[in-house]
Amino acid sequence: MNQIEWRANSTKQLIAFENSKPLSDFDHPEVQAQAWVNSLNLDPQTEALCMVGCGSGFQIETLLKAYPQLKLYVVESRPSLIGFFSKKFKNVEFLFVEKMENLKNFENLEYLMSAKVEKVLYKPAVGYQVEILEEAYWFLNLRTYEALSFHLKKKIEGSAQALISAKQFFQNVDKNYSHYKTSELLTVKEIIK
Amino acid sequence: MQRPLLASQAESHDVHVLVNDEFQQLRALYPEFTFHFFPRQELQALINQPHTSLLKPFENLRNLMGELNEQGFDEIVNLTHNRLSAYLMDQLEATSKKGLQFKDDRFLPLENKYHTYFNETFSSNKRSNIHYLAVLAKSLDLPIPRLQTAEDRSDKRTVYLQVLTSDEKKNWSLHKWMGLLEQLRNQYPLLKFKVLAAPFELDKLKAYFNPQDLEVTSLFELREQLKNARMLITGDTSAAHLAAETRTPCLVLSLGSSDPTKTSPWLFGAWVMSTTTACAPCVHSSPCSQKTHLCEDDLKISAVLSVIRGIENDKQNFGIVMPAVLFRAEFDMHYVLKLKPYSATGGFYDETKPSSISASA
Repeated sequence: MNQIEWRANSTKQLIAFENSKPLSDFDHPEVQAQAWVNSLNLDPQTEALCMVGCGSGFQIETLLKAYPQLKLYVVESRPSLIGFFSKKFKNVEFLFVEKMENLKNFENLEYLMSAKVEKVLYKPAVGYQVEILEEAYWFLNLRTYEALSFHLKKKIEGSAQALISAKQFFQNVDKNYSHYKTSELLTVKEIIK
Repeated sequence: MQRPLLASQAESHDVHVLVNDEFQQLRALYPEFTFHFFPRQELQALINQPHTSLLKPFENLRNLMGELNEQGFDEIVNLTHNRLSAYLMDQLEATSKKGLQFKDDRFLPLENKYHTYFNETFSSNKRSNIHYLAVLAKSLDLPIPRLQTAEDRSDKRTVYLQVLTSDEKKNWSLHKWMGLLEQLRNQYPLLKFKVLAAPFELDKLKAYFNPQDLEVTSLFELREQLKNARMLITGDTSAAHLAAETRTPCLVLSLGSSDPTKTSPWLFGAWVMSTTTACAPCVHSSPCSQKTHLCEDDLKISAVLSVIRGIENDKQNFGIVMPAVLFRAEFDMHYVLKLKPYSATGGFYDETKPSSISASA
């Protein structure tokens, strides 16, 4: 695991660095965070959001300020960042995901994978953790074979990390699928034709 | 096209209408109905973009259906014959449901012989001697909408030309529309001719027509303009049905997948031109299968012009050259619209072909 170090900018804001790579904008991290939160264009009714990558933490602060009712989950692969931010943001639930098994063992994973929880990848915060954080992100969005296999509780043929198409999703869903009614499944299937 | 059916229901019911979100203009056009929009394009985008949970479109769909069910509908009527609507019928709640339905994991049996006829004839490329609205009304056990008569607009000066439809196959070529416009101008110098354009069609039409000839309108504005129009000459598109609504004399050029007997304007006195081209009418959802657009080739400017002249001169007996064919919308003995064909040599045939099912039975 790469070393995380903290450096202060001219306004004494602490910026996280991973092997000399900043995990947010160095000079104006709060401006970058605000622009990102604005770009999300979240529905005010959004119940929960799962952010993949926590970086220097400015986006967490900005997000909670804009949506104080939001239940926030943060997926992160660097333990020192979790240690630092879990003390600062007491109401945020941090998930340490160094490998996919960590995520799969999370007790609320089904809820996290549900459409009730928005999933976002905060790219500036990814640093050198592209592989694991992106994999976690696609998994949470139910877009990989591995995720579909987990969701349907059955083995799906295909490379685990490969992205699946909507068509492949429907090929694997059978009549016993309990999450949605047959007519709901067929409605969406009809739309993608 | 279903508006006459909805209007008759709105006389005694609070009518809500669920349509695809591409038809947002309907809200302004028909404030007498409450519109809900099915976000088809949004759902399509959601399911195809990996940055969204694959379950998101399902959740959005469920939320939409939940909002609709909060309205507490007494009756839900499926006015379509497509599968998507049938699936939605299963997700919508009401004491009574009519029309094509899917329940649990199967389609319910069709409700009556009209429903069977409607489903078989309008889901496929089968011909029908009965108009879509009449069959639909009978299949749903609703009254067939009253047929209105085209007004005499001989005191009006403006003739509108709707030159594009939503489907390339149904279009008469823009070169022919240009030629027709030129000849109409020469023959009727006292009349004003305007080519209708939706805002998104403007650039395409500017390549063929002078900007001053183009009239850019929304459907709402078009309906107002048609109330003072002398005539509308159009492809088979929504403008034709607005002409019926405003009782505007009209001539519809029915090409490609347009089937005159199925979808002509619900208006006594409307004229419909088509051709006897073997492949017409073709399948709605597929592109033209021919090397050239045969039905379009067969409909000559001279044939269209001779019909316009006939209408202008209020003739009841005039000839057109095969393979063009001409119909006039009239009442049948039960006051249901039927298309009366003209013979190639001039004048009406005595009878239309007998239908396999009577809409008034």
